[in-house]
Amino acid sequence: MQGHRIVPVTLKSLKSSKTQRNTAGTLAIIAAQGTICDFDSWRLKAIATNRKIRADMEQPFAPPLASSSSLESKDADKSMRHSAVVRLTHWINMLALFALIISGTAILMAHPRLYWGETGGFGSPALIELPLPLNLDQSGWGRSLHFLSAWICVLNGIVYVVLGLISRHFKTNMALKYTVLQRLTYSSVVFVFLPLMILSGLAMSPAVTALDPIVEVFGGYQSSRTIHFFVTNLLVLFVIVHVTMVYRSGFLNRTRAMITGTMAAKEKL
Amino acid sequence: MSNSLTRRRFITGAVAASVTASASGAAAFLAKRYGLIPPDHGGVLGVGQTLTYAAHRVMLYRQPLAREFARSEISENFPAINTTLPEDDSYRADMATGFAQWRLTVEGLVTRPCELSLAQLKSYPSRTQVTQHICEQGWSAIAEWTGVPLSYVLREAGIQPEARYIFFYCVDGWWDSLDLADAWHPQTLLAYGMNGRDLPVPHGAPVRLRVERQLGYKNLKYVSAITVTDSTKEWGKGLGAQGAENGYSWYAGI
Repeated sequence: MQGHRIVPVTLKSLKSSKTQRNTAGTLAIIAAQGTICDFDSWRLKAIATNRKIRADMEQPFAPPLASSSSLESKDADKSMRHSAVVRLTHWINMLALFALIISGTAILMAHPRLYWGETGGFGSPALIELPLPLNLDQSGWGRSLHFLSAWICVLNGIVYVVLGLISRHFKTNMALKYTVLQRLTYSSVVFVFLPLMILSGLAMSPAVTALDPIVEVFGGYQSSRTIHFFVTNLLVLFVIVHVTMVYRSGFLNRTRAMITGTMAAKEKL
Repeated sequence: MSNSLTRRRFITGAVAASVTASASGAAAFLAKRYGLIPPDHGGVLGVGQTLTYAAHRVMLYRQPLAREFARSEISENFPAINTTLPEDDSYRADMATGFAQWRLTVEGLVTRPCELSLAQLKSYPSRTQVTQHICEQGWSAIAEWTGVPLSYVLREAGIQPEARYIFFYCVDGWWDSLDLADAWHPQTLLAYGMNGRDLPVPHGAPVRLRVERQLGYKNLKYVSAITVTDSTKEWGKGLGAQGAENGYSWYAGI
């Protein structure tokens, strides 16, 4: 691919930069460009921007919660990529989302029709009739599992966001590691779509809406249910694109990075 | 440098772990003391039930009212599911007489156990509310309900201080229970009227329960007996509801 021919050239110029740590960080930056963006212009622009930001930063590239030892070790072909908190919350979140999608589908099969407004049911016109089999027997365990995994997802998300803000994870990663498209995608998933899932989910609770009529913001109970469904689809789409991009940029290396924290940067280049 | 970082991380980790452990211990103690643990708290899924129930009970401490609607928003089409005509012979005979023989038994931890006729219930102070019925399946409909607040009947019967749960038994054999928070809630009714008329048979005539802050399946139809208890243990598997034995959470405020 064209993009891969450009990287070594850029790398050469970057390699002259000051320290070993910087080089390791830069390797990771360049490797990160491959995650989503294959377009040369975006890549070059992002690298140029990153160099400028990096020059201003005193912070080491590695996430603050991770030990810097891997960067300083003789094992120069490895670079620290994800902090322990990011890795742990990532996999917990993956399991929780998986359980949420499975159990959500089980609940949905009890009434695979969507409506807009407050009310709706068999006998009233549907906004969409989903091509799912009607199954009334899966919503018991389905709902119980849905709420268990929703709790895990929310508590895990709170840990991720709070520690992310404290450790400047978002600021550092958004500025250094990712392209515009990645930044938009990741930040909208974390700060728009997942909160929207929680809010539209809460809006379906007859107890929570007694406390706060948030449901009216969404246009009614059935509208909340419909929004919950469509945002789920966006999240599933994100997961598909995310996994595809990880696959395309070296599945094993990137998965290893998300498990152990380090990736073999040279292997990629 | 890496040594000091390791020590710092170790101390941070130890502090975090002990804070988490003591917070969990304190939470469990408080939850038990303030009745924040639902009967179906067992097992892995029970963790979720407990978190939801405890969070709702704390959040809804001030007993806010469920949303109410204008009469103009009443649904033309209100589905009736599960039992729509009980098989019980005496029930069917009673239907013809406008439920003249029907009685609501109130017993258990009450100082004045009683059997109330439909006429007696209707003579009590009533409440009318237009609310949305949300079925766990996903459909929903709005109707107007008229009935006696459950709290009134419980006070009349003289509910005792050790009471914790109110069990309901129905003509079709279904049973379920409520905690005191929902039992005392002003919108919790023994409803005999729907949309300005007598409650129709498919919707649970002569009397159904309305628990507006929970899903449809907690709103039992064909209620025939109320038992006040201090525990859920003696009913079925002790999960507090027949539905809970089939995996449907006992608390359905969701």
